[in-house]
Amino acid sequence: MSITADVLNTLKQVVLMNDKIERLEKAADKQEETTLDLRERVIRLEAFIEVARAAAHARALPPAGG
Amino acid sequence: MITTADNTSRMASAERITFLVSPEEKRRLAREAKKAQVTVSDLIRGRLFTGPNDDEAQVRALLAEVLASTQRAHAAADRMLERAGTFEARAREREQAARRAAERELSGLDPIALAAGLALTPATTRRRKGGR
Repeated sequence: MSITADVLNTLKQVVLMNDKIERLEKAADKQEETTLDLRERVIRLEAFIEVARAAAHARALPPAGG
Repeated sequence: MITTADNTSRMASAERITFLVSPEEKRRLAREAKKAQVTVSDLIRGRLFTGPNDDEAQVRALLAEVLASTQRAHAAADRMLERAGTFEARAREREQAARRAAERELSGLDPIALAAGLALTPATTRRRKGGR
């Protein structure tokens, strides 16, 4: 293989790698959005459970002065 | 490919150079000349004395593409690094907003009914129910 062919092949590899980086950015965007969405859903569930547990605990307390 | 300049150069050629090559080099010269549809002399003159040959043009074109795609890749990598650096702060902001939204939503619900719905009845109540 001539030096020119080697140079062309190497340059093509660089172009392909650059393309992969750009596609990686799009994939990272999607993953970030998925992660943020999951964290929001956990927060919502935590809030529900906290309120429900507080209500259950208050119900279990003996009446004042009893 | 022979240009007008090549023809002019050819017409003005009056000197002869003889040089030795290996049989493989001779075959390669003949092959390249046939591929370019020129004589071996024109091929050598063309490679040495005229503008950029096909290989150089290809390399230059690809270099321009490499430069442009590398600049785009750099920009993409910079954006990714910037977002990674601010991810936690943005996540906290969205979580706080989600918590406020959940609290607003829960303020309209009956907490006792919610606890019952989630089977979070107190242990004492469950014991009493079991005793009956």
